[in-house]
Amino acid sequence: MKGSSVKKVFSLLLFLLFFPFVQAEAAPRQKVYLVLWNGCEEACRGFLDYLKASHENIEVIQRDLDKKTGQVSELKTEIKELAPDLLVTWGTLAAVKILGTGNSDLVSQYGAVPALFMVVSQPIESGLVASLVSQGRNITGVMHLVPLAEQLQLARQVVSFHRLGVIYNPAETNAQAAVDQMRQYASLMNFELLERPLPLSKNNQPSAGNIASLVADLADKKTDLIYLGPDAFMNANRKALIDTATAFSIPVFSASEGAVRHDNALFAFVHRYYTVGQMAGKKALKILKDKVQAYDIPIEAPQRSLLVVNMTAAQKTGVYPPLSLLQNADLVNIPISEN
Amino acid sequence: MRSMSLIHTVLASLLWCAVVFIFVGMNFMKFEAASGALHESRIKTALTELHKTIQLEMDKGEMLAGLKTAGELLLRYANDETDLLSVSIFETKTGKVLFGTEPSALGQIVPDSWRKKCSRPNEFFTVHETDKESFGIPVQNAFLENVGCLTAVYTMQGINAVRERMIRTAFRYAFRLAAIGVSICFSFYFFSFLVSELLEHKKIQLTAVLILCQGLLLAALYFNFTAMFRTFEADLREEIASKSRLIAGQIGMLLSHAVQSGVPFDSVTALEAYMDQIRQENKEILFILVTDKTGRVLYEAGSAAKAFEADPHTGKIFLRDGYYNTAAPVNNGSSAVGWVQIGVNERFEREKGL
Repeated sequence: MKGSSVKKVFSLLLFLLFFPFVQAEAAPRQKVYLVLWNGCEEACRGFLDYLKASHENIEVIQRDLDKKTGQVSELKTEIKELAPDLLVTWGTLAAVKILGTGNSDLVSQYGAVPALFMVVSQPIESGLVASLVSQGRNITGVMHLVPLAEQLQLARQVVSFHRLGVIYNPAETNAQAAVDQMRQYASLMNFELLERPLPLSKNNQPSAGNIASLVADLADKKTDLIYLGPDAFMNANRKALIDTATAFSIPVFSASEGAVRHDNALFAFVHRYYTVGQMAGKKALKILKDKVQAYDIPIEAPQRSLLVVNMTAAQKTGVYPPLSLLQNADLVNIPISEN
Repeated sequence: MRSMSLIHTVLASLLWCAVVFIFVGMNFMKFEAASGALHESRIKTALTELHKTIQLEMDKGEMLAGLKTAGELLLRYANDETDLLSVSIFETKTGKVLFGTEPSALGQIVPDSWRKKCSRPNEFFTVHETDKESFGIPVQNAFLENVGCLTAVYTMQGINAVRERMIRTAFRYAFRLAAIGVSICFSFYFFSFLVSELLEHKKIQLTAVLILCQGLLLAALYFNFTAMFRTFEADLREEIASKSRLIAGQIGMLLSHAVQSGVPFDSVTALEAYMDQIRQENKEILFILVTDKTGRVLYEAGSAAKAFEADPHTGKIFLRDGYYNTAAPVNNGSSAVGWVQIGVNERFEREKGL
């Protein structure tokens, strides 16, 4: 009897002594391998903050491509060696290079690692997934652009347009895809879409010199509003577009906020990168904590968008959003008052 | 015509008292409900504005715990709300108070019931206690996840005092009307008794007295009920005034923000539609005017004509009895560029009918 009591006390002491280790074993540290394109910016910060706020035992291994694809193969080797619990990428290029496309799936090379991308505007068009809900691969993600239909509906509340102009680079898949979608919405939403593709050279290259004349043509056709979509060439040359449109008092609405904040596009409905990162964090926890498969988590953008309005552009074009929208908008580039 | 018996007189008096108490009671309940609704809607209007500002800050890309302006916003709110006890934001997941006007509550955990109640997006939860009431509304992030809850605790002293005043008013008028009715019944009884004993042409005399009594009762009803409604309306006035001041102030602030951001004051887009929506949501508001600093009306929702009348001799315009008018400035920098005026029909509850 005595010996059995001693055994019990000894067992209890042993349990108490090793209890913390037992606990640690119950919740092992999970590894997230995060590949960034250009340092840890807002989306990355949102992602890290979200994981930190969850108080889960997660280690994030950050690797920065620094806008170059040279070290991609090194990272791939490291991923195989480290065997993380989740692979996360920032931006379309990093996602395509690290995860591969549907035709050349790289994820399977890393073992059964689920993957998550963020800040990708067109995951289907870029070949990452087959669809937003049936991805066809163990990948999920967060898009940063407000869906086009929603952008157009919200834009109607700002400017009651009947003719919407768009100047785009037909050589760009993303730009062409957006215009194709707009064509469908034009008949549904009862507006006339004035498409102006930039003429291409023999090398399939557009010229920024044609932008002004195309804007003039749109002005001639009494365009109410011009859309600046997810078009790399047009965004690189957006100043020419916006300045000419403003000279004709035609407001420009943009898919991204840079054109509103830094140039004089009138408005954009956007998701802040920080929010996109947070949403990616939420999806990461679903995979890591709730053990949901990445392919069971739909690819989406945050639901609530933010209206960003450039007040100098409003003054120049004489187009002011309704008061009810201004109330919940981020007003930027406010002209200096005389008072 | 037969004379009135004592039993008939007593029965008539009792019936009259019952009718008077029921009628006064129903009106008391109606005005008490209106007072409660005005009070609650004023608080919700104020909190909704604060909630929108917090949501906008989050949509700009911040985590709830990292909101830099939250503390300042809550303090400003507390300064404007006289019957507020405290206002705070707690984290939904943990129930921990992140920001608040009560330093001792910071970091504390709110009751579990609050966390559960504060779950329906854009819907308020309310908890009424004897001396205080609490309101809460969820704060969501941009992907519609409930991350926090904005709560405000208000003292019930003011609204309880109004209720007590209304009860006293109701009893005062009920007893007064009951006494008038009973005395008229008994007067008629004594008169009919005298007539039957002493006078000829009894029928004509009695009919005349009966008509006189009925006339007196109707007059008593009219004057007493008018006076009672006025007293009830006077009790509501304070709540109506503070709510309309709040709404005028909110519109004034929004317009000031728009004007300071470069929107020309005379071409604010869809302002009338915005004001109309406010009017629809607040039935007591008769009109909302936005004028420039000279008083010229630039925007109008509802009609102000009913509330004002002009003196036929001097031409001076003044507010009719039963209407309340409040104004808030629209500022551009330090100078006022115009005014928001809100006119309220104080008799809105009476005019709804029973």
